[in-house]
Amino acid sequence: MATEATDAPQVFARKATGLRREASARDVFIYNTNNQNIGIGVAFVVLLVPAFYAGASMVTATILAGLLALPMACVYAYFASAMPRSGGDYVYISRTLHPYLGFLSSWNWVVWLVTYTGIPAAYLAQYGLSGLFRELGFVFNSPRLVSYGDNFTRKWWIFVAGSLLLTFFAIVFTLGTRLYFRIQNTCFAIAMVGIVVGLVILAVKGHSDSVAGINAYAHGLGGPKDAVGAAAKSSGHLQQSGFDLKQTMYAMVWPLFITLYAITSSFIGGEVRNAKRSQFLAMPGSIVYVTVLMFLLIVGLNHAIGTTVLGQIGAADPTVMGLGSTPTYNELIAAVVHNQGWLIVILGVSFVLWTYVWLPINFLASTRAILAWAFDGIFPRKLSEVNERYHTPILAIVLVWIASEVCLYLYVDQIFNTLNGIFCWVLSFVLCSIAAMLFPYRRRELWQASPWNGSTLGVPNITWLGGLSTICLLFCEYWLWYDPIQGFDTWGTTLRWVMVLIIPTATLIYGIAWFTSKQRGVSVDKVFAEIPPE
Amino acid sequence: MRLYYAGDVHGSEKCWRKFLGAARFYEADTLIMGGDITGKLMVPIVAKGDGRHEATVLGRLETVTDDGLEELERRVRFNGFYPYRCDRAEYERLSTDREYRDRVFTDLMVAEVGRWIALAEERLAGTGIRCYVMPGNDDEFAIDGALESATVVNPDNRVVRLDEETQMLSCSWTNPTPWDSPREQSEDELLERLHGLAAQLEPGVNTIFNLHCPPHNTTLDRAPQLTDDLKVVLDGGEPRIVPVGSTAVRALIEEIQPVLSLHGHIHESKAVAKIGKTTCVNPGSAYSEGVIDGAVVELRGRKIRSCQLVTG
Repeated sequence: MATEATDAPQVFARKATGLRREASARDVFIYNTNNQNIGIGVAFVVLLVPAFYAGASMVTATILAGLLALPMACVYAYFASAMPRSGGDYVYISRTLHPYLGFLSSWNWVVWLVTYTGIPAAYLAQYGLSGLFRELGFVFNSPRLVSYGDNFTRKWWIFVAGSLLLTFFAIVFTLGTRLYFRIQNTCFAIAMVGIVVGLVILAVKGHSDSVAGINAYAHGLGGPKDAVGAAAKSSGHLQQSGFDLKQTMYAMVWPLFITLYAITSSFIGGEVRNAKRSQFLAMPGSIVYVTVLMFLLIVGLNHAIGTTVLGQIGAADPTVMGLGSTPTYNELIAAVVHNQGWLIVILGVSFVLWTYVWLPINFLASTRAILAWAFDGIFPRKLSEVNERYHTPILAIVLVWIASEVCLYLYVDQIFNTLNGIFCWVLSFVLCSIAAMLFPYRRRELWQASPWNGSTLGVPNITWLGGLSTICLLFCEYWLWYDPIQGFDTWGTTLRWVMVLIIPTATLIYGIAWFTSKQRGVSVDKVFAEIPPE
Repeated sequence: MRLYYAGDVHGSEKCWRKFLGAARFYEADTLIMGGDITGKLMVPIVAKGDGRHEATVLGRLETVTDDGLEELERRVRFNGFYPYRCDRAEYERLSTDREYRDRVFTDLMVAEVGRWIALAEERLAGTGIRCYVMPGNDDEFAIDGALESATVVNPDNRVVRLDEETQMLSCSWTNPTPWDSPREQSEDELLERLHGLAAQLEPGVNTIFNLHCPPHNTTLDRAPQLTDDLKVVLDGGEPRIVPVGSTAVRALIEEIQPVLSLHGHIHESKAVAKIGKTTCVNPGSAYSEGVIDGAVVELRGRKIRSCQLVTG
């Protein structure tokens, strides 16, 4: 037995076995930071905002996105500490509202998780390898490498590279998640080195140096001597207008694409040590970390290259600069230091490690959700079977792998666009925030036993927080819906059908599960329902 | 026969009450509690002498008046802890006199288990529901005597008949753990114990196992490897996950091939797996949330008609 001598009465523990959880605060912090993907986030913001959102402030949009995502991250972190179990909002909503709503939310999650397992597979070639090979071609003066870079922006090259990457991770997950976490942590460290190197370059380079560097780089790849001028001309001499709040709000959807996804560690909540501390560090903490780094990169890019030049390059036909595709911010930084080959290689390689990271995280979360459904009798029990040698759910992995390949193809074939799924995805976050509002009233004892059970003005703090999160998310939904670049008006027919079919398919699956489980003697409602303790 | 199995409630009063309600909720005729029923923490509620009492609950110091005492005790029990009322002098003795503290803790556990069994009696007597409650490796031997009543049967270390068709072999002991808990023994000793129990099985009768420890190298027994000082072993910064179940348990299952084998012990390793013809179940445990993880199994003769993990 143990005790501590202080004035306040201490508790006494006896010798007994205890649960040892695996994931540390550091692990889940990296997991969530990776999922927010600083590299791709800044790439989208810089590629698109100055070019297509006249008068939008990249810095303001990024800070707003961070602030609006914080209440939701706090809601998930709260739930993860009150119910430290794997499964994310599937668990939280099922227990707080109703099992059907929990499954509906989880189904919605997995539809988009699988979609965004396929799409980032394409990013590897589209944004990572294309730039890397062009940069290597420049460093080694190799037109062949440059042509590879250009090829990696073509449909079938993107598809093949993405397919190979999906297959690689399917094999990694078959061999076990430990291997993946090793890969993740190593790649994250290298990718962060790239961010730091980029920040240092941006801090020390002035505007004229940077423009000269971009011109020299593009010229070295076969473009004109004044590539920046050519881009300006091609873009119609796009000029940045004065600050426009409405355009800034529209532009906010791009950094939101990043900051809304700091909550993935809720899916592995059962494996997190000291959930209260770790999950708050990993969710809201990682949003602050990512927002600050994005802010610094954007400020650095504004300082070194300038919003107008970034907009002109983003809006121009890249071939006028002698490039096969529009360069990412990382390639522009590499261009600024065009005469230092080793820096270019560091920047190119490290950026590639940002491009794919959503893939494995979403892959893993999808297989875990499927596993949970199979355990609960919603999906066939077969899908919960685990390979005896590797202890991994091979059938679930194969199912996600196939579905992701289809989504990769749909993206490459331009049936899906980058942000299209986010609007629907956010609906799950809204449902979870509503669950947080009602949590103290629906699960009073669990709320009382939770680490954060205070009240303000007679209303539980988690209810206030859930309300604030709901308002923030609905505010984001408005801008996601009306965004002129990726909003509802731009959605293709296939995507609209996917959105429309989510609720009926979830209802059908749940209904079939309910019927078959009833036949077996325990209806699926009872699988999740609380046994009355009295 | 439809049975409801759960384990590892570790003193959670709410989980115990749910366990007793599970038969009606899932329309089961047999309840089996698979061990580790006692809590791990005693929470002294110290009288201040002015009608107020203070206790540290979940790391927070709470002060209540006489009127709030029962509510405070209820919340302490919700988390699987044992409330213990005392004055400052007794608290000081508990803090300094280890032998006294152990004795108080044990008495408290026995009294609480007795109260639970009385509650079971109250809820289940006359319902025709069979109720089997077994200790686990974490439970001290002192509680065994409190586990028997007119309605509740402690099936530990023997073979009992569940009905005319089915017999159940039960064992609370496990292979060694890093915590050196009360009911642990080496794999060889455990195998010998299990073989001794298997000798009591009636040939030709449908058999199920109720063994607290899961079989080795199945999905029921995955846990992080620990060092002697209870730290997680890391490989390249990641926890090394290893099978921690018993090879003796596995050997017995492979040898006897019962239709069903029920297990607990490893809370984080909720799973259903097959060893030959045997369906092995570990429903896991989330007792600290007031949630009881269990399994509802319907047996039809020598076959399992359905096996569903449930979270109640």
